[in-house]
Amino acid sequence: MDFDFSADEKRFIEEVRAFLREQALLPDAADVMAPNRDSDSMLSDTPARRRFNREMAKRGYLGMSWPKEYGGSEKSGIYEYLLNEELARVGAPLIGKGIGIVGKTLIRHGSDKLKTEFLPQIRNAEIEFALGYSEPGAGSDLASLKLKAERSGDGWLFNGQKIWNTSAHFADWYWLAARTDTQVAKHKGISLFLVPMNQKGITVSAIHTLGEHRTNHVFLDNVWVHDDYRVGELNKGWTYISEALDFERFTIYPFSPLEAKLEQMWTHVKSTQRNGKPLTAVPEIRRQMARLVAQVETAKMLQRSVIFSASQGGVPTVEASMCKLYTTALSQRLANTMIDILGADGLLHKSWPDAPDGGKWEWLYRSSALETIGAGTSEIQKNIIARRGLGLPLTN
Amino acid sequence: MDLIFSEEQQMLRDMTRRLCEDFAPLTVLRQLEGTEPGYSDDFWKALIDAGMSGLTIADKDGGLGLGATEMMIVHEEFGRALAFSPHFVSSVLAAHLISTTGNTAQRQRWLPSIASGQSIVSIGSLEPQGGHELSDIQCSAKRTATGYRLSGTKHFVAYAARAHAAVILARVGTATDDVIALLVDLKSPGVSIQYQPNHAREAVYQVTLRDVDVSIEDALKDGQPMATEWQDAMYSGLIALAAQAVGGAERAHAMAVEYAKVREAFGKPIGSFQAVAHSLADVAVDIEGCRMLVRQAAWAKDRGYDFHRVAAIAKLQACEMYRRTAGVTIQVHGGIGFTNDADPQLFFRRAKHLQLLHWDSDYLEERIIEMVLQETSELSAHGANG
Repeated sequence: MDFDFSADEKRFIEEVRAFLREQALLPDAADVMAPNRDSDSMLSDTPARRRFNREMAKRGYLGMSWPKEYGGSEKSGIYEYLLNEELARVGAPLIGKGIGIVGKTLIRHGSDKLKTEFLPQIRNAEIEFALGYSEPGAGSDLASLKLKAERSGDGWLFNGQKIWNTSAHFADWYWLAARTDTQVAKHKGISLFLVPMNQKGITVSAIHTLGEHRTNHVFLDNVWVHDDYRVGELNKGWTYISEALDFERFTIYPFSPLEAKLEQMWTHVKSTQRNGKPLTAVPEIRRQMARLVAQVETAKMLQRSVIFSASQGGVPTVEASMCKLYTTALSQRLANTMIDILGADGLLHKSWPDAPDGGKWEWLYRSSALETIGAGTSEIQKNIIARRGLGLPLTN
Repeated sequence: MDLIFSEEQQMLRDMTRRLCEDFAPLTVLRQLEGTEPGYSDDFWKALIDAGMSGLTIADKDGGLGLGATEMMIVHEEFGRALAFSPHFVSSVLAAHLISTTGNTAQRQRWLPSIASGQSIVSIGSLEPQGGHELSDIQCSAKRTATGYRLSGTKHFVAYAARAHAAVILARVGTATDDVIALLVDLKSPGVSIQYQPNHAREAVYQVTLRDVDVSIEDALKDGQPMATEWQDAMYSGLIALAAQAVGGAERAHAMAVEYAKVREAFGKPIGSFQAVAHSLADVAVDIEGCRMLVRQAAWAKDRGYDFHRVAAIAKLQACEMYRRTAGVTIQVHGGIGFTNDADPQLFFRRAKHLQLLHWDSDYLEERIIEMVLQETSELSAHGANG
């Protein structure tokens, strides 16, 4: 039994940290590394972010787990996890859906044409994707999606709408799930497509969120794409979506931001006095902090359980659900505790010069509300644990 | 990272599980509850025959010399079976104290005999109304020409009716840490013991000490205050207790899950309802987190890392989790879960014991805070922020 990372993994962590220290010295660093806003820098299109991603590509950090024939280095997925942990710690953009969901699905199921066209661009950080999954009537119950794809000449004609498509306003290509068969069970009639975003018939309209970032509503009106841009087999879309989620599970919930937030809480609690007494001497605050310390350690353990299971070649579906469920609720508790500790000052927005920690906590208290909803709500995670982990005969 | 037990460790787990199944099924626990001496002689003998009573005692002192990971594995099985014996108090806690603070004569007198199961040594730390702080220890040890004269009352002294001796923590001065440890023969004049009826109906006793003379030869650490050594022994012991909580919770949870699959209401198994399934899923997450916490603590200790903080976290989290799990287990069983005939109550009562005895949540939270404050000030002193 060994909880340590291997010597090579530790070397890699140090290498990434050195890289990030260099990057932090560049003039545009504040646009890419914003630990006070988690990794929100990845949600908007800035020259700094594009430059940073190209630098990541140059260092060979994009596609580490890909096969060599596609320009990868065939490393274990744990390296991508470790990379994301370090990126998340400094609030830099994480390696994202291009390398993971799009790239890995194309490698497994894409035609030679799609592989040749997209994989080099992904690896070189020359292309941006938006995922088109959810619809106004299909969120947790994603398989009930309705956006229609109908045969039209050599290709397909799309009509319908998507929602929560973050980065759709600057993406080059759309990774789109559409209904290709209405006569079969709902999850057996879905196919995946790649669709260029810059064409007539696609309307992207902004949705502004509580977390102060932009996501989008996307409308497709007689949008056409050639059949060459269908991904894998017809009507296998649901399988591909689930599979992609499974191999992404252990890179999407980095633990380091929680740890960093807890450290920042300590800094505040240790340096602040109330009624002439340091906050560290207030029994209620001591108790809350002790509990958070214990809970953050528990979150780390649940994350380790995911990594370990993945490193054994398993698909850590249940472990990842456990980790997501626990970590996201903890993140909200942590923000709530800290804003309570700050008192009224905790309400100050980041645009106020003296807002505590640059308004981080006020923002986090808002933005963390999404965590228990996005990428599978807590209720869906519990369904997964109950069904797949405990074998309960759960009906919805 | 590798979280798999070695082949030897898996064998140890299987063997312990078999011994528990053979000698300590719940039917035996039900017969033993509230009786004296409160554990099964057959089970204890089986453990002794397997060398378990010397599990973590050094080879040179007659034990197997195994580490915290093995201790965790064994205690997780004890917890799963609700298999009770003097193992924790004697072979883990007392043996640890004697081996770190005993002189040669004391080690030779006690360690091989604890390892062989010939002697059972209990621990007297808690007092009436007392908490877990050292300052709560009021039992006094006054220096005499030949040793100490002990006066005071100890509560929750496990298996005192069978124990050959107990390590008694006693105060020699007014400073918080002025606490020494004496090996007291419980048959000595002035010692009286009385069974204390309790929540889990375990064999715990009040030990009253009225001017009990203890020889200087029975003072651990030569009669020097030993707060640090006591805490170190406890931190190690926490790993075993947290492991018991994980084992007990896993079994209680498995019972509840099985019940939810077969018990029907409104024409369906109750496990098909989200209200039931989600509460079982929540608990499953807590159990997984705690299982990992305990493993990490055992690993850190075996590696020689500073393990106190992770051990305290493991015990805090695992015992709270066990308590919650046992509550959910009763809830899922419904009315039958509230009866004495059904098993959930056995876990429910022991979960609370594990949580409150041997450093309760309040005490552990304070220890965790103190350790973190110390660590973070050391970090900033070295300018190593982040």
